Amino acid sequence: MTEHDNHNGDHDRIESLDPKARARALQSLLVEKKVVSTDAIDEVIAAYEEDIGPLNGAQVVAKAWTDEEYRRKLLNDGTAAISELGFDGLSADHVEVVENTPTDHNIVVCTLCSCYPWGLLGLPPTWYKSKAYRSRVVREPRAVLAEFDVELDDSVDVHVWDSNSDLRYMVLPQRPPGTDGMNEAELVDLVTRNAMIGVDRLGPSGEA
Amino acid sequence: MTGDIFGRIPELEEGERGRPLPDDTDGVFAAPWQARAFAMAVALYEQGTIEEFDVFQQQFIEEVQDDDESWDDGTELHYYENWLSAIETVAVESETVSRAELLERAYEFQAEERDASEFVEGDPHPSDDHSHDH
Repeated sequence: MTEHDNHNGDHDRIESLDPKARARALQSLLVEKKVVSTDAIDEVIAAYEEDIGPLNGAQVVAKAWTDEEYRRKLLNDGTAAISELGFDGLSADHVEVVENTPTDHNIVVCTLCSCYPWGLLGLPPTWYKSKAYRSRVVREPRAVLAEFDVELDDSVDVHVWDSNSDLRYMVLPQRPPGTDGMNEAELVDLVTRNAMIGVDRLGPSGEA
Repeated sequence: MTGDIFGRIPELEEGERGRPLPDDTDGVFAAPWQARAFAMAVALYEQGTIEEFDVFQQQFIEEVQDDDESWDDGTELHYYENWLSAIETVAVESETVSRAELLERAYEFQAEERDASEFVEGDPHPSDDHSHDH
């Protein structure tokens, strides 16, 4: 029997095993064959648990709020502008930034899987990866937003952006009112991860 | 852009409208095996075993799209099971491992003939009689 003939049987059998055993098995083989080391794997985990997170995106946003030229650059070529601040590499590349305004609210999804600008926001939250979010946000975005306590006036248009493996979207939220006296460092604290995905809105929701 | 999306996203099915969103997970990974699965995909790309991360990404998309389960009993569980299937397939298709040895090794871990002590930092397990000379 060839490898190919066995393929489907083995594929199905491995999926019936405990995922913990499967993950360990793959790592065990990869290390044994010297493809990767356990250290390299541990370093990736540590990087995403400790270093890579929404603070990166918040710094990009705060700079855009305080530097008009940078804001224009960010909207025109997100990847280049983000790279200028030193955030590049896996999943911080090919990023397009979409701007919230008093009349427009943007929200991001990856309907096919969970594409997300890791380098700027860290790994996506559970709800972002869920079938519920991926299927609902395109068809009923205002209902989803309401569940995040974002109630938009009818005067605000909602735009849903579908990230994919070639292009990931991030929202540039509005600068909150009453923050004119704040410096960039202080503004960073106001930028939430959810605002950069689009399920939080930092400016007015359109009433009055 | 929304025009593009509406063109290819099916209408919400009965029961999907208003379907509750799961809560955020405490911490970046819900379980150590998920962190392990995640990191292996990234490491395989960083080590050059796969030239483009998209090689993994496309396989992952296929797994997720083919998954008929509801995920109601745990988004992270199903998500990372699909992730594992994708990275296993990538490892096999790049001829890094074979399906047969993956299956055999997974059985060994499941039967507790092997455990995670072999991943303790440093050298491979010295008395491992499965070790090979490279």
